[in-house]
Amino acid sequence: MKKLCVFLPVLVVLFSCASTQTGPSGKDLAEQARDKAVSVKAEVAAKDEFAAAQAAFDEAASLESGNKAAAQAKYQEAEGLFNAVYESVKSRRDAAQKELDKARSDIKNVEAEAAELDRIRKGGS
Amino acid sequence: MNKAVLVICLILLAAGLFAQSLEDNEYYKKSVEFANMSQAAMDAADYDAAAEYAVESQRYAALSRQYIEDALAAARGRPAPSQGALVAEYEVKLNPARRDCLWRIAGYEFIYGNSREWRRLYEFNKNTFRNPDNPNLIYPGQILKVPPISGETRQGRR
Repeated sequence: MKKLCVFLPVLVVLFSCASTQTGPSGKDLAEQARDKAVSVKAEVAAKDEFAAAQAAFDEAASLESGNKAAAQAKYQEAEGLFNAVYESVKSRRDAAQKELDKARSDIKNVEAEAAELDRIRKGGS
Repeated sequence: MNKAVLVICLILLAAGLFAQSLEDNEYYKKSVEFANMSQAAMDAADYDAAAEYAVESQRYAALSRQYIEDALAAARGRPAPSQGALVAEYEVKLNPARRDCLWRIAGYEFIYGNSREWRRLYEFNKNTFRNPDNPNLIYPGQILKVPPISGETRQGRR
């Protein structure tokens, strides 16, 4: 019982330390946002916007050793810019994909009707 | 050697599978071409161009479908053209609901009764076209001469 009384506070302290672990850093979040933007080829589809976001990211990286608070703010700005360019490019990509899917479906329908026409011409009913 | 034979067989098989009605269908070819251009633009992340090409592809697919549906209607029900009704000339009509174009004209009973013969009309008349390189540009009032296919008698104009 005595031992339990000693170890219980220790365990409580250990658990509370574990639960106060910090989440992903501003840099991590900015990198995740950049990866998302790259996944829709934003660096090609929206060169200027992507370059602006990358410039903010690079600036944050350069501030990291001296001014941590300023670096964090810049990483946040970069994250916002990467997210914005991702959303914008993704909506354009989705719209184009939708049109392309419809075109392919239309072509398939035409091919099916052409096959039917050939069947009739060859003597089918 | 065996590989070469296999490749030739595959090509022949593919050619056999390709519907004959699509071979002369310029609209179909265009729709496929634009769809391919759209895919290439997608791959190059040029999404705005991809959307535009896809819309063009849809437009040509719709024209292509109309072409085939007309041919289907002809193949299903229309009687064979009678010799006496065949005309030697045709005046392009203004009908907004059913626009005259070469493949439609070629499909009329009194012309050839077969839209696939549109190219024959084009080749025979293209020198009278405002733009001889564009078979899609014909105008109301334009007179098209209808050359016989196999010596059939043709007379008059419609």
